[in-house]
Amino acid sequence: MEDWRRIDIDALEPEKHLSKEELIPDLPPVSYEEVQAVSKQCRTALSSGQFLQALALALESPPYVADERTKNLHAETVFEVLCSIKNNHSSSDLGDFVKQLDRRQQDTLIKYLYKNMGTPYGAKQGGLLLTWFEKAVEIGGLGPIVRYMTDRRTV
Amino acid sequence: MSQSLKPYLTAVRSSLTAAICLEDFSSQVIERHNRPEIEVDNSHNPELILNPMVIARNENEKILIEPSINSVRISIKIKQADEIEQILVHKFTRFLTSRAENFFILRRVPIKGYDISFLVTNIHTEQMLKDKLVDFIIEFMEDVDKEISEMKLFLNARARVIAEAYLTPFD
Amino acid sequence: MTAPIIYQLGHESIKDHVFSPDRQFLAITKDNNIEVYRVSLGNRPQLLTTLKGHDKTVTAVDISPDGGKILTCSQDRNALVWELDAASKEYKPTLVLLRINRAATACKWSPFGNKFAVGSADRVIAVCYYEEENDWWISKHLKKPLKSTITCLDWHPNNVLLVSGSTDGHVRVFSAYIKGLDEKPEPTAWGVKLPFQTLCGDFITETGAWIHDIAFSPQGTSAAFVAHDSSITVVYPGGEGLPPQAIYSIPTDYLPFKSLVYLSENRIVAGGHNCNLIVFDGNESGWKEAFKVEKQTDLTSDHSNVQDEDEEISSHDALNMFKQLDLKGRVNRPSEKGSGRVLNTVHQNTISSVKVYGADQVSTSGIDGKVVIFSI
Repeated sequence: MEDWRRIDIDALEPEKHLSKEELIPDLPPVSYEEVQAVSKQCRTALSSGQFLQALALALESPPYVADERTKNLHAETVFEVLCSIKNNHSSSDLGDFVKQLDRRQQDTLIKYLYKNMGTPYGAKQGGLLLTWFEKAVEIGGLGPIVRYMTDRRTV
Repeated sequence: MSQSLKPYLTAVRSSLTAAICLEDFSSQVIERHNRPEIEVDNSHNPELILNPMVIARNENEKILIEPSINSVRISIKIKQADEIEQILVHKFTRFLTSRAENFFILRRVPIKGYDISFLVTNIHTEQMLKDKLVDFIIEFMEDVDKEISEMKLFLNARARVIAEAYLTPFD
Repeated sequence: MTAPIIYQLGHESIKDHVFSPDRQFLAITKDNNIEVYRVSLGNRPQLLTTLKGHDKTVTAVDISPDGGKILTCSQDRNALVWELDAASKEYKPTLVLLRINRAATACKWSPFGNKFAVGSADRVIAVCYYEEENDWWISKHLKKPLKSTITCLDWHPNNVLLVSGSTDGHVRVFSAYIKGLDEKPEPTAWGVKLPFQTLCGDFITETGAWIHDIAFSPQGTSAAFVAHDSSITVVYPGGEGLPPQAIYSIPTDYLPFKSLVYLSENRIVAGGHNCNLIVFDGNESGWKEAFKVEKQTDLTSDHSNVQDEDEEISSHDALNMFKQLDLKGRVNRPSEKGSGRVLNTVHQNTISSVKVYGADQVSTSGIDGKVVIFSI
């Protein structure tokens, strides 16, 4: 009772506030296995030299509602695709890849670039991700960045 | 080195431009208060906080941008290659943060894991032009690198002179 | 297109502005006060009076359709209705019983001018009307299912429907029908039976971003809103209880918009953090971005003045230029005599509100202290 000054009175009025759970978008959850399958498909596409298909595939179905492990796995898949494209092309070609993506995929690309830059393995490859980022912003403008910030469908 | 600095700063510039879109917003929780939403406990209004962004040039150099509806917190990790640089960065940021009131947007305590933090609120964007604020932060980022390496050179030079002077009698 | 008319009214931020229906008067918010100007074409606006009554930032201002009453609301949780007192030639405030405990964030007169709505951070919308015997404005609350700060409001031309946007990304259409005050409204595509507090529509942005502004089209057949994810969305209702006939959401490459207006059923003008106005055209079968009102280069890539492009640059300047290119990632000429960079739009900072001024004309106010009238 001594600590009455610290009672969080706002918590006692639950129906007035939004909770973190309510912000999670109403989308079907994605399982770890599904993401693994996508990852496998991407690798197959990469090994047969279909770089654009691999990129589009990885960006087409991001797991918005899933646990951390699943989300991270998909981020790694995207990272792998980006690395592979960068290693097999010159930097000037990257712009063409971005151009061939539709708007939604470009937005998703920015999301994964930010996510990967926040991971230890992504930070090591900062230069690579930044080159991609530069191209993506050159083509998509500031819109995708704003949408990354505001989107409740996090990756 | 400067080759990969350019995309880094371009990325920081565009991210900051997008993040510093603030408005006057008074608290939903406490009446007649207007506070930077990024700095307060947000368990009751998570909708006012946006997704944070990390831009990393490598493991030692990165920037964290945490936007919210009326404030943005920007934390910078300055490159520290060896122990001397670590000491220099520590002293340098301490020097700045203890004079924070002269820098308007400087935060007195950096966020954990970063060396220096800024807090930009809607008051700042209303009084100053946004692109100038962005310019300031970018300029700070490049100057701090320069400053630290200059101090390091200076320190080494001094150490050499002292060592020479000290060892002259034994010559 | 004629050049925009620019009124620089100090350097403090203007959060909202409104012209009286006859375009003779202009009211702007300035910190805790409201300034009223007399405007005549070609002259500087003349400050008539400063309305002092709020003790916190004034968030919105509106003038009633008959031009007689000024409505203001503020973060001090109050709204006031100001009327010109014929005897003393001064504006006198009338209290509004809002019964809210947080900031009032938005206010709008209804099209007939017999009531108004005030949105608040208290997660309610107060619909207010005049009670003669007590000489004050009383309010009825729209509460459910609001769970976040109301950022914007607009009235349907039928004087009954009210649309609101909030920071949880929801756009909601309510009935604000007041018994005894309003006549029974004609059924519309938004709903047929409309007792007070009927929720006639609830839309959410794809990303869940905050809604910044919202408007009904002039005839009320559609509603449009701008959100913080840089998108603009137009909704066509499908009839009571049915999903909307169509929703068009246009993501843009710009910074988020703060405000929008319908110029006609088929044209919308939006402005915001980008400091420029963008025009959108469309109809029931689709909407698209038409053009920018002012020429503008990207905010991130830099802009050099065209006139002095061919001036000789000294080797020192050239060195600086390459340094800038290399280090800051900016392609610009070194600024002359430290004059600094200027945006090549009229507004140098965020546009806070856009209103209709006349046929094909809109007025804007910015946090750079300017009120500008653009011809579209």
